[in-house]
Amino acid sequence: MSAVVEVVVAVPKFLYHFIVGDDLVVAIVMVLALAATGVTVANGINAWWLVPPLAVVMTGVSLWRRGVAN
Amino acid sequence: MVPQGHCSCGGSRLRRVSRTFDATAAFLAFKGVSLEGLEIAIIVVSVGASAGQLGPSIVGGAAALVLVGAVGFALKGPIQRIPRSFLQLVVGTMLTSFGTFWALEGLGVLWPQSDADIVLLLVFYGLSALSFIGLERRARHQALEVVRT
Repeated sequence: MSAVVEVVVAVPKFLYHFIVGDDLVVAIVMVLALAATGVTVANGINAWWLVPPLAVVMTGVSLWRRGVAN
Repeated sequence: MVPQGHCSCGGSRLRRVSRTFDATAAFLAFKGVSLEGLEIAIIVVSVGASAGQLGPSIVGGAAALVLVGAVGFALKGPIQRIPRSFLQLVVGTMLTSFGTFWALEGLGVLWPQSDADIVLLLVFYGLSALSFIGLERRARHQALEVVRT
């Protein structure tokens, strides 16, 4: 594989692992949670309480899914 | 990935430090420092420029660089003895706490206790992580017992 192809493959791969990590479902849920927070704040609800508990719950879900898969 | 000359399995008997140049460790350190350095540069320039105080902002950033470098050099020995997994836990908890705080503040959220909520987030995520570690250890222990019987 040439150096150019290696870079073309490696950069998106790095970005995926850097942004998404090892669980796509968690990444999607957290992006949706951030979007939901933005929408609720725009509608006058100070939803600081949404993301932190959801992050913990999704970590538990991710660990549980990995445990089931193993 | 385990850098050359280091062992991820823990225990002082197995720990050894290579005296040769470790390209993997150098590359990882370069990536980490570049990423954080870029972040600091953006913060220093944006905060300094928005306040019309770019000079003092650069001086403060440079002083912090020297201070952190000096503290890192002074604490090199003790830090090498800290288990890597513990460092990952601490750094991960801090990044998650600061990330949550700034991301939500960027969305317009007003934190009830203002900046003090960073500490509460640290405690919340830290205790959650410790709970998950306990559950994972118990599950692994139970799985090992099933294999043995």
